[in-house]
Amino acid sequence: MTPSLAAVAGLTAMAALSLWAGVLARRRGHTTSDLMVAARAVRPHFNAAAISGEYLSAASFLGIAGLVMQFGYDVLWYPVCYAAGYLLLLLFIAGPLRRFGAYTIPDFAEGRFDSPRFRRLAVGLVLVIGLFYTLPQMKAAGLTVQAASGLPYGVGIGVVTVVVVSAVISGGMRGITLVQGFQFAVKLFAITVPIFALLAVLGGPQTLLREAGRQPLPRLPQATTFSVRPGELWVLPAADAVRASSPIAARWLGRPPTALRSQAPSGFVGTPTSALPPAGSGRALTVRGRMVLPAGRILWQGSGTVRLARGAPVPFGDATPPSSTARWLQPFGPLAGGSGHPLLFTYSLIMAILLGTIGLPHILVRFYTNPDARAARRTALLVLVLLGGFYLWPPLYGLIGRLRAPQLYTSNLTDAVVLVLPRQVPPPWLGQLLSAVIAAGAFAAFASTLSGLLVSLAGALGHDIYGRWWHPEAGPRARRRAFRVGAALAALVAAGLGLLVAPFDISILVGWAFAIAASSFFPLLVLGLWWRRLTLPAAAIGVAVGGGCATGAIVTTMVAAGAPPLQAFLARHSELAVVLAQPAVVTVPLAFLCMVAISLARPRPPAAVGAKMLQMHAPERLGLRRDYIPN
Amino acid sequence: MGGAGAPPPPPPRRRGRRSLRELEEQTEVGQVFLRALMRRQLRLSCAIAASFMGLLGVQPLLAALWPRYGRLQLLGLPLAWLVLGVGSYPVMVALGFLYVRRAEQIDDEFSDLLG
Amino acid sequence: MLPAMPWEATLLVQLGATALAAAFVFVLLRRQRHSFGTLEERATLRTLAFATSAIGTLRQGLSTRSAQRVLRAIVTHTGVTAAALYDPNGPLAFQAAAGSPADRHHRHLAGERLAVLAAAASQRLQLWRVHADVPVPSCRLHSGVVAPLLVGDRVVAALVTYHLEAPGPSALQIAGDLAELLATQLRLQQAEEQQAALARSELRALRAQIAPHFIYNTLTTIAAFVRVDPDRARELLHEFADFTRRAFRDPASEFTTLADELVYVHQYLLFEQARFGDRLTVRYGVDPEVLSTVVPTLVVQPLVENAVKHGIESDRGRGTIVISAEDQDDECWIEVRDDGAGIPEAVEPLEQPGALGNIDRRLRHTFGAGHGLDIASRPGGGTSVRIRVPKYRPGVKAS
Repeated sequence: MTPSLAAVAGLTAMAALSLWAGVLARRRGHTTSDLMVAARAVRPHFNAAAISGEYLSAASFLGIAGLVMQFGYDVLWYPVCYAAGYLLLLLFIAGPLRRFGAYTIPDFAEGRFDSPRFRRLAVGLVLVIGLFYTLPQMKAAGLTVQAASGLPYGVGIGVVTVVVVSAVISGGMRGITLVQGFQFAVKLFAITVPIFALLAVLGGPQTLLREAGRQPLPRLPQATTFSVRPGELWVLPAADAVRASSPIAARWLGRPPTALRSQAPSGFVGTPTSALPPAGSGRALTVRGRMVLPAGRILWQGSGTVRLARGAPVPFGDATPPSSTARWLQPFGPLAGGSGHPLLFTYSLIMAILLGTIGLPHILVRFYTNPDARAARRTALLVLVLLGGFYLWPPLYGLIGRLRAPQLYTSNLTDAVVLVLPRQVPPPWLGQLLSAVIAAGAFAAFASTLSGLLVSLAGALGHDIYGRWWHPEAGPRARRRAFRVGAALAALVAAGLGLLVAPFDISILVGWAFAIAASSFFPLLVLGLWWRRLTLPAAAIGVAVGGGCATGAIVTTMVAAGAPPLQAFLARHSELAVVLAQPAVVTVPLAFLCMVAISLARPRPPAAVGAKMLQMHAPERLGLRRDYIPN
Repeated sequence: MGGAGAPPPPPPRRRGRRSLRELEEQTEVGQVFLRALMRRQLRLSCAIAASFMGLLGVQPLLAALWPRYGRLQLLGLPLAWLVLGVGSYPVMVALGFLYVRRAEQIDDEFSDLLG
Repeated sequence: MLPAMPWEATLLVQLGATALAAAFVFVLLRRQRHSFGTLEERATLRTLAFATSAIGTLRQGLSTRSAQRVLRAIVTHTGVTAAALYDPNGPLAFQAAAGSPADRHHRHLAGERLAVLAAAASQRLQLWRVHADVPVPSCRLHSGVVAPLLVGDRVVAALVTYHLEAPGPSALQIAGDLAELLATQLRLQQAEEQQAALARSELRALRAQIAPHFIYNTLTTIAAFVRVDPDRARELLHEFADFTRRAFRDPASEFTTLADELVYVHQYLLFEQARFGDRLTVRYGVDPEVLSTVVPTLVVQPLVENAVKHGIESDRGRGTIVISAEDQDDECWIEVRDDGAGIPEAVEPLEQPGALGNIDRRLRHTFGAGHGLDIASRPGGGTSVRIRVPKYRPGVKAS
C-alpha cells in the first residue's frame, strides 16, 4: 500500500484537534451565565452524540466494511446488532440503572447486593472485557497508521499508544461530552462524504451490484504488481497468467482438500486458515518471466514482484476464503456457511452482539451524566437514531472494495478497505483530500474508544484495585498517580497483545469482547434490576460461570489457531468449534440459568431489596427520598 | 464562619398521600403498588423486545428454509440486504420511540395515582 | 427442504411476521391501559382521591380558598343542595350544587350569620329553619344543618348543609360525619403547625447564631442600590427572596445534586458581588458531566463563604475566587480557591470552630476516612479547599 501524505496529515490534524478540544474544554472557565444554562446538566442530545462518539469504534468504522468485503451478507448482523444493543439497553437498563445511581457496573454489583467482595469479581471481569475490547482498537490503530504512512504495523501501534496514553494521562482526552460529541460528528462526516463521492464516480448501488453479478470471482480492475515474501500463501481460485520480474521459488500445494468454498475453517472465522504445511510438501515451482500459475495454493519461498494483468482473478491471501459473488451476496455465505452450522452460528452471533453492548465497561458510565431516568431513556433513543444513521454506510464500502480494491484480499488487509477506497476518487487532489478525511475519521474511531476503554481500565486498576483494596487510605495525589500508572499499564499490555492479534479480524475480536460481556454482565444487570429474588451467591456464580465459560471458549479458539492437534480435533467436531468461537448462544442462557436456579434453590434475598427496587423503579416525580444511612 | 450556610434541621415528615408513605416505608401495601408498576414496565419492555427479536430472528430462519430468499431482488438490489441492512434501523427507532412514550406514560400514571 | 417458494410468498411471510409483531405490540399496549385496576376500582379511587385531597386542603389551614375547595368537593360528592363554612367571625364560603335553586342564597348569608354562630356555639349538631324569622319567597331552601367543628374544646368553624326539605336521619348523619372529618383535618393542621413552628424556631436559632451579619450586609447593599440603580436593587431583592426561600424552605434532604448546590452558591455570590463590586471576581470551571453528582447538602456554599471572608474581607480588599468541579472518572473533585492571605502556619483550620470542621466530619462520615477536606494554603498565597465526592456510594441518593 502506498503511503499518502494527505492521510498522514488527516491523522495528525485529528489527533491535534481532539487534544486541543479536550484541553480547551477542560481549561475553559465558565462565566456565570454559562453555569446557569448548564446547571440543569447535560442535555440528552449532547449526551447521545457523546455516547455514539465513544461507542463507534474502529470495529464500526473500519471492521464492518472489511468483514463485508470478506464475507458479504452475513456480516450485516454486526452493524444491525451493534445498534440494536441500544434498543435492549433502552428497554431494560437505562431507566432503572440511572435511578439506582450506579456509575460503573462494579458500583451496581456492590450496591445491589451490598457486597464489596462481589465488586472485586465485577472489577476483574471489567478488566477482561476491557482488555479484549482494546485489542481490536490496537489493531485498527496499527493498520490505519500503516495504511496512511507506510510505517510498519508495530510502529503504528506504538505511536498511537503513546499519543492516546499521554492524552488520557494529561486529562485531554477523557470522556468530555462535547469532545466525544464532536468525535461522533467527525466520524459521521468521514464515513458519509467519501461514500457519496465514490457512488457519484462509480455509479449507484444498482450499477455496482450488476457489475459484481458479472464477475463470479473478484477480478483486478487494473494491472497490479504484487511483491511477495517467503512464507506468503496465495490461494488462486482460477489459473492466473503472471509475469515475474525475477525468478522466484515457490511450492504449489495443490487444491485444498475439499472444494474451495469450504476454505473458511469451521468456526475459526478470521483466524489464519491453517498452520503452514510441513516444509518440503507440495511440488516445487519456480516462477519466472511470463507463466500461468495453476489454480490452488501457492506458498512463496523467495521474494520478488509479480505482475498480474487487468481482469485477472485476484489471488486470495490466507485470511479470506475465496467465494463466488453469488454466495457472497446471500445469507449463509462464507462466514456463517463456512462454519458448517449456519443457523447456530448466526443466532449465536446475534445474541453476543445484541446483549454484549450492555456489558461494555465504558458505555454505561456515560448514562450517569443524565439527570434522571427520563433523560436516560431519551438519550438511549437518540443514540439509536444516530447509530442507525451511521451504520447504513460501512457495508457499502465493503461492496465497492470487492469490485475496486480486490488486491486487499491478497495482502490480507481487507480491514483497510475504508482507508484505501477514497483515493480512487478523481481528480487526485480530491482523492487525497477524501483519504485525509477518512483517516481523520478512523483516528477518531479508535482514539475515542481506546481512550474511553483506557479510562475504564485505569479506573479499575487505579481506583478499585489500588485505591480501594491495596491502599484504602491513599490520598488524592496517590490515587491520581495510580490512575496514570494504571492507564500506562493497561495500554502497554493492550499494545503488546495488539502486536499478536494482527492476523485476526477487527470485528471478530470485538465480537469476543461482546460475547464475554453478554454472558456475564447482561444477565447480572437484567435480573438485578428486575428480579428481586436474585441472591448474591446466585449472581456471583452466574457471572463467574457465564464470563468464565465465554472467556475459556474464546481463549481455546485462539490457542487452537496455533495448535494443530486441537485444531484437527475441532475440525472433526464442528458444532463444538462453532460454539467455542461464538459461545454466547450457550453461555448466556447458562448464566441466566445459574442465577435463577441458585436463587430459587436457596432463597436468601439481600437485605433491603425492597428499598433498592423502589429506588430503581419509582418515578422521580414522586419525590421519594432514600437518604444515606451509615451502617 | 458565618452566613446563610448553616446545616439544615431534620426534615419534617412528608405530608403526601398515605399510599406514597406505604410505598416509601416498604409495607405490604407499598409492595403491591411497586410490583404493579414494575410488572407493567417489564411487560412493555418484553413486548417490544420480543417483537423486535422476532423480526430479527425470522430472517436467518427464512434464509435457511427458503434459500431463494437470498436471491430475491427489489429495485435491482438484493432484498435480504435491504431488509437487514437498511430496514432494521427505522424499525428499531420506531419501537424505541414507542417504548419511551409508553414508559413515560406509565411512570406518569403511577405518579398521578399516588401523588 | 421445502420446495422453493415464489418470491411473493416469501415477501408475504416477512410482511406477515411484521404485521404479527405489530399486532402483538398493539394488543399488549391496549391491555396495559387498564392494568392498574378495574373500571369500578378506578372510579372509586378517583372519588376517594378527590375527596381526600380536597378535604386535605384544610390542612393548609382554614381560609376562604381552602373552604371553597372543600365545599365544592362536598357538594359534588354528598348530594346536598348547598353547603357553607363559617369561622367564628362569619361565613367563609358558600357553594351550591350546579343548577340547584340554592344558587342565589349566598346573598342571604349575612342575614343568618347570627343564627348559625349561635347554633354552632352549642357544640352540638343543630337543625335550623332557613329564613324562619323573615320569609324570603324567592328562596326555596327549607332548612339547614349546622355542624360545629371542634378542635380541643373550641369551636373553630361550622359546616352548614342546606336542604330543600326537612333533612332525614341519614342527611344529619352525613353532615355530622363530614364535620368530624373536617375537624380532624384541622386538628392535624394545628399539630403540624406547631411542629413546623418548632422546626422553624430551631432553624432560626441556628441561623441566628451565625447569619445576621450576612442578612444585614445584603440588605444594606440592596438599600444602597435603591437610589443609584433601582433596577439592580429590584433584581437583587428578588434573588434574595428566592435565596432565603431556598435556605429556609424544606432544608429536608441530607443530599442534593451538585447542580442545585451550585445554583445556591451562585445566588449567594450575587449578593457578595453586589456588595464588593469589582473587588470580588468569581470564576467557575465546572464540567457539565458532574452536575448530576449527588453531594451532601450545603458543603460547597460554606467553603465559598469562607473564601470570601478570608480572600477579600481580610486585608487587601480585593480578590478572586475560583470554584471548580472536575470530572475525575469515578469521583467528582470540587475545589474552592481564593488568592487571599492564606492560613497562618500555626493554625489548624479543621480544629477551629466553624463550618470547615463540620463539613470535614460530614464528608468523612458519609464517604469514608479518605474523603475529608483537603486544604492547601500558603501564607500570602491563597487557600485552596478541595473535596472529593465519589460518583456512587451505596445508599447515597439525592431526593
